[in-house]
Amino acid sequence: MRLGKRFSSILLAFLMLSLLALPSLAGAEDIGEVKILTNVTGGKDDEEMLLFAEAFGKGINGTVIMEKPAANYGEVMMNKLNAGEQYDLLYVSLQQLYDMQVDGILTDLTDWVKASPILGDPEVVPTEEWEQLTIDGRIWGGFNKTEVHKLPAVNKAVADKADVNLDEVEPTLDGYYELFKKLQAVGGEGFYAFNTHIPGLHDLQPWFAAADLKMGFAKNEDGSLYVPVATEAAIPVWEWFAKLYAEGLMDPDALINTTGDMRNKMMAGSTGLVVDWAAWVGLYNVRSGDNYPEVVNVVPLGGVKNSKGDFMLSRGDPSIWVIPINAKNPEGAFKALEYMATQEGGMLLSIGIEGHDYNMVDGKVVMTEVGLSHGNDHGAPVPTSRKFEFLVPLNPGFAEAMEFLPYGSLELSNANTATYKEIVAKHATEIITGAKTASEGVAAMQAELKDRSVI
Amino acid sequence: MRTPIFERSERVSRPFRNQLRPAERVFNWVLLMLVFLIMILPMLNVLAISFSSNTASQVADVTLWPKEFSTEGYTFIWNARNLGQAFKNSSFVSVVGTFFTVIISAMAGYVLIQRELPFRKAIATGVLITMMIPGDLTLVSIFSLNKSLGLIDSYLGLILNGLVSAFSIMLMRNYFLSVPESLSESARIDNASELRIFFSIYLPLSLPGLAAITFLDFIGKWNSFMIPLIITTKPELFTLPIILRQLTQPTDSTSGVLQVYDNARMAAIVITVIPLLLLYSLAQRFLIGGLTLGASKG
Amino acid sequence: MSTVARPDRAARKRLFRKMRQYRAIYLMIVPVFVYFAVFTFYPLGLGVVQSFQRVRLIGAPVYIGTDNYAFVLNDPIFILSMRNSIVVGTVSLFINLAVSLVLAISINEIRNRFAKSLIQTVTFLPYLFSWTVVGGMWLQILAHNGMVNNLLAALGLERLPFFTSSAWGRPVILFTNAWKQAGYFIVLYLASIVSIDPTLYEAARIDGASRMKQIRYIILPQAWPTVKTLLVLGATGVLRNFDQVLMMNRPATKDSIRTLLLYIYEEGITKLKIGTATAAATIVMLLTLVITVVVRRIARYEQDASY
Repeated sequence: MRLGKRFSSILLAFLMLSLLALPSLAGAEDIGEVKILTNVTGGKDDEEMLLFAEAFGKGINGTVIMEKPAANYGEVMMNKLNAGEQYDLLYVSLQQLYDMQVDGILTDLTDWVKASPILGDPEVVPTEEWEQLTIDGRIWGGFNKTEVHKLPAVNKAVADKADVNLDEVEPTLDGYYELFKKLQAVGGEGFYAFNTHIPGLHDLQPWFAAADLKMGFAKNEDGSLYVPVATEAAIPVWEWFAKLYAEGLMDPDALINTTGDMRNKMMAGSTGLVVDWAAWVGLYNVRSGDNYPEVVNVVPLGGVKNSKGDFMLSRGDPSIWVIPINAKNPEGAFKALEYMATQEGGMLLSIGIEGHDYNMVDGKVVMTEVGLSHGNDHGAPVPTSRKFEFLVPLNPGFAEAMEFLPYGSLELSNANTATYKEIVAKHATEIITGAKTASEGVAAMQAELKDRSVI
Repeated sequence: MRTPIFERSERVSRPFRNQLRPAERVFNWVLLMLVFLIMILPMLNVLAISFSSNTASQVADVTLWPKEFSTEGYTFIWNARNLGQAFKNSSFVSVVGTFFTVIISAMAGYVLIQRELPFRKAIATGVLITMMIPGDLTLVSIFSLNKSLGLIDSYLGLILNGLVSAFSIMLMRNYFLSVPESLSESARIDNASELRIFFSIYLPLSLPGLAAITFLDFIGKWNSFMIPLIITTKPELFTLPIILRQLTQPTDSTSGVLQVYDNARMAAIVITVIPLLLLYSLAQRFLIGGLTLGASKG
Repeated sequence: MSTVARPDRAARKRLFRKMRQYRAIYLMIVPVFVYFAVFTFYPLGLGVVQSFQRVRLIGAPVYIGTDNYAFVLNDPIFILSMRNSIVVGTVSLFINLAVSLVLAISINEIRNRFAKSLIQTVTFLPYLFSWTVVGGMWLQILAHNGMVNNLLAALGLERLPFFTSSAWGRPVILFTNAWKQAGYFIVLYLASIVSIDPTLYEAARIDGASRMKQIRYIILPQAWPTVKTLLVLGATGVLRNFDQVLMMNRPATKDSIRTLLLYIYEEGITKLKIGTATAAATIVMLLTLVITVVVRRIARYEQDASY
């Protein structure tokens, strides 16, 4: 009896092995199974996630398995990796990229990228872009999407009420000060012309253009780092903020708002101008429901111009895919990266799955109701490839906002970015409320940044 | 006739019932009204927002009454996939888990009151120490441990994690301390087994305490989030807190566009709390009696 | 055979016999042993080991001795967090216990059963919500244009900078903490107050004592053991504030309220530095041990308890 059992289990194992071998006999270059741990990219619910993985797999000629933690991505990722789980692709933030690279657990992608007809093509991904993912001269990850910029978004409905022609707003600190005063005059009860999210310094870049300063870090000639917005050159801009606050033009709760609070106020019509992502210029309009366009009609502005006559806008930190060193199928993972930078991949990550989110009718894209509710965002509203063709019209306001993209540039980040923001925000609060003068505040910023070894 | 210790005037103005003087009573009521308002206003706010329409719920000034009354928030939550299943999962896991936790804690509490038990102090200290361990020390190994035990994606895993609570053990021990030892002594003389003594003497006499532990433990298990999050990957096993968190705090990338309206967030909160509230009103009767004995003998 | 050895052996023999006598009892606590061994002490051991390592998410960790501890203990933010945790945690515990006691006695004086039950339920409710909810609530209520400030303005008073001034950092935390936790303690107190022997009141009444005096000389002493117990149990949680400060910290107030667990989260968890996180957590555990022992001694807990 026992012998018979053993024989049948051997037979079973043999059968299973041969079944596994079949796919590789059939397809020419099946790249096998690619296991992905994702945070954002993918379907909106588990059902759609399966469809997404299927479409993805077809696109790369392999099988894609996608796993998405329900919440607390960082903690779950740590748990899985610590337990020895092997993933081929991991979704990470810039901060996590730095921390993981230091530990030496990422695959060096430099050579593959250079040799790749897709990722190595500067028309698809400009060469400077790879700098963000370069540490010590080597590339450690791939892009999930093209990060867009943040720019001022103003409520035209209020501007119209104030008889203000937005095209004539002077791109200087004084010009915007005048704008705010006019908006505030007609805004009504509880209205504030200017709103922002100070705790995250989101986003003050358009205003620091007045002093030619970039947010984030900057390098001295000797290579050491400093923080431009904490230097004396920044004092006029900080004084400007304090003035806005003192004269009731800035929402006092901007000092404690979350970005969600800020957006809520915009959509309710109780704020005149915020600085937010390009995509949100369109979304404010779409999401304010009946308020559009009488009460809320958001259009983009460029902010203040710098001494060269250009706007200065920030682009966001990249969202990144990395290949861990214990990946079972690194080649497959890289194929997936390349795919995401193609037109087809870009469509998957933006408008979604054919047959589910949209259908091709006479060669044109027709969104389904499900697709529309997903806002054309399955991880990459603006896909990685610069050659990507948008087959679906962008939300009203978004297209105009995208025209400002050339003015957007990246902030220099490193592992201490969170700390620098915390320090600057703390003293900024004191400057803005008037507890300190701008020069005292800036001096305090410098001191603390040095104290905590950030610079 | 007893000599009154206090002033004659005090006796004359003494009210018929044993109560505070009128002035004191008024002060008492005022104080409690204030407390009542402080407690309830924020929560009325939550309720009001949950019953407002999508766009109205975003406005900062919804205070105590819904703006543009609507149940859109609740519909959003209701239509979430797996909500019903999550409810069932939470109920099953919490009920079964609490049942076993209470039994195990009660037994352990009984053990800790045996005066002559060798190493009793050491055991009690060991139990107390488990209350001092910060979660971060063990956070990263949760998945790994459960994987080696084969508990990933299983109801057994959800129930076993968190099954023993030092707090419940210490409380049960205190309730048992108030049961007269003479009862157990005479039972032992009559050759009753320990289990018998436990079940037929100590448990019945500590019913209020048991009820208290049951209620508090149930709340803990119902709201437990982190461990279930880490050890389940299959959506059909997600518990209520996980589904609600997933729904109302969508992760989006740096320039992401996802947003959940506030009314849905508040609706999720209300949905989580209602079952606990119902349980509380049920348990209120026992609670007063139960937690008494535990604490005052502590 | 020396006389010293014989008592030892005899003592050990008695011990073993006693243990055999209690074997049924030991059996009853076996599940607890097993559970704690597997789910608590084993991971604890792992964690402590990790605190002496540079833990990489993938691959073998490297032993670095006490480097993690040195890093943590030399970090001024850790020291700041420790100070905050101890001060805010202890004061919070005392405030919560005191306020709840006053309220419990207050509620006890209400004769109307419906009112009594209602206010008890209402005060208990906040305990059921998570800090994500409660924190968010109070951020809105105490905002510059929130309910409270609007009320102050309507009364002609100045609006208060609850979250934008470091002076208000701790008071806000202490108040909201009491708000959320009060109900729970109130129930515990009420429980012991309600079980006071009624004849005590009778005797006092006959002696002509007013209700106020009865409260002072009967209720308070009877509730005191409860206070002590909760003090000791609360001591194990003094350093545990995390969700509250995570939710409610803002740039201006963060420095005065940031706690040890927040430090572990920001420095360890989000930066994927497990070694740092576990080292700091071990220090927290040892600190908690010290605090609990001290509090137990102060409260003279041992007098009442039999262990």
